[in-house]
Order: sequence, then C-alpha cells, then structure tokens
Amino acid sequence: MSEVVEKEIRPENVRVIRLGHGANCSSIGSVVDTLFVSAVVGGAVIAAVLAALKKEAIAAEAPKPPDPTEEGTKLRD
Amino acid sequence: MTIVLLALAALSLITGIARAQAPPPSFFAGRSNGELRDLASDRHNDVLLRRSAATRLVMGLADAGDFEAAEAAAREFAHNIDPQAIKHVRAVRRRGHVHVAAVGALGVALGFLVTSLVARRRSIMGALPTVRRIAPIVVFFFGYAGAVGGYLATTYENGSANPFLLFAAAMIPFAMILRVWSAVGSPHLAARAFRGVAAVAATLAVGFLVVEQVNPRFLEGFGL
Repeated sequence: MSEVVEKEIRPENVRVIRLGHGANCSSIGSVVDTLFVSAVVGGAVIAAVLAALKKEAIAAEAPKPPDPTEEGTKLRD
Repeated sequence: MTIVLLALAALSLITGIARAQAPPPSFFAGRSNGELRDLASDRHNDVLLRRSAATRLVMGLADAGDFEAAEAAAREFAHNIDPQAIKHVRAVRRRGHVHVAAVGALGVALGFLVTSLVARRRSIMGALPTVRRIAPIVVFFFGYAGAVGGYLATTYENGSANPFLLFAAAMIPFAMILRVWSAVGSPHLAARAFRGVAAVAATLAVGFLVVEQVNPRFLEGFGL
C-alpha cells in the first residue's frame, strides 16, 4: 500500500498570486470565454464595416467611338 | 491545554459541527423549494446540510427568475449560506437585464434592416454581385473563428465548441445581409454610421444570446 505524502504549502512556497479573470490558471479553459468575446468583438467590427460600406461604383465600359484614322484608311482603299 | 481541547470537543458535539457532513448533490435532486426551506430551517439538521439547502434554495429561486424571493431567502438564511449564492443572485439579475437589452437591440436593428430592404427591394438583385465579392472574406473570418475557437474550447474538461460554431453559423448569413443593406441603403454619412452602430449592437446581441442559450458558464467570468 503506497503512502501518500502530504506537503504543507507555506507562504514561502508561493512565488506569485495573480488577481483577475482566470488568474492562477494556465489552462486554456480559463481563457475560452475571453476567446469567445474576442471572436464576437472581431465579428462586430467586420459587421460594422460591411454595414457602413458605400455602394460600389458601376464600372460599365462606354462603347468606343469609331477611329477616324481607320475610316480614312478604308476610304482611301 | 487539555481542558481547552475537551471544551472545544464538547462544544462541537453540542452545536452539531462534529457530525456535520455536506450531503451529495443527489440528496437535493427533485426537492421543492418548500422542502429546501424546511431543511435549511430545521435546527436539528447538520450545519452543512442547512447551509447547502439554503444555498440551493436561493440559487434555485434566482434561476427561476424570482429575484425578490431569492433575496428574501438570502436575508433569512444570511447567517448560514454560501456567499456564492448571493453573488449568483446578483449575476442572474444582471444577466436578465442584459438579455432584455440584447433582444431589444437585435429587434431594433433587424426592424430597420428589414424596412430598408423592403423599401428598396428592386435594388436587391443588383447588390448580389457585391455580396459575392465579400463572401469569401466573411466565410473565412467567421469560419476560422468558429473552427479554431471551437477546437480550443473542446480541449479542456467539459468544454463545448457549440457557442463558437453557432455564432459563426449565425453571423455568416447576417454579414451578407448587412452588405446587401449597405449596397441598397443611403450613401449619406449619417446613414452609414447608423448602419454601423446597428450592426455592432446586433452582433453583440447575437453573441450574448448564443452563449446564454448554449453555455452560460462563459458569462460567469464577466459577472453575468
């Protein structure tokens, strides 16, 4: 039967205690909610840009006028 | 020293602390609020049993939306209740306010959007090539956010990819419709600014409503 050695955690064993959201946890689970908020904020920026865009200019090509030099050449022929 | 220890032991037996043991969650399953109140009030019960019952009663009332009763119960059992229960009541109340604001913002934005599209319905077909041009960017951005975020969420204990995937699924068509709106809508600066604000409000509302329905634990870190 294995013995479980319990070590007491004393103040000198603690290097740093972080405060705030997801503090003292290096797991991805502690920042997944922040990640989701980042995705939503990024989506909001994209949505704002798309909604605020102007109409696109219609780029229709006008028919080319007949080239007078070509006409002249044809007439000469 | 021995006398002090004996006195403490006697005090523990008299107050019931020595016999106290937190009951398993299954003990409370299916119990009505009246039963929980009786368990929390009965002085013959263990101190931890009373504490757990009071905590569950207060949290249950808050989850059911009865905030007045939850706060009254929290005051009634204030001497023996988990402080997290009181925080939970405040958070759920705040979440309710944000829910109403989100539904309202989404409703107003969609109302203006639909009204504008109906008024200029003849121009909608002409806007489709514009939508086709931005479609790859929109699909890439929301697809990337949904897939990568969803994958990361599944890599820890009870994580779920659903909030990311549902948000992406809702936003891809919504973003396309927003581009149609901007293509057929007024080009004036004020109109464009209003559309931008409406789009931001609607997107934040969609994000909140998705996560509220799928996994409200995401909101706990933000006091909701």
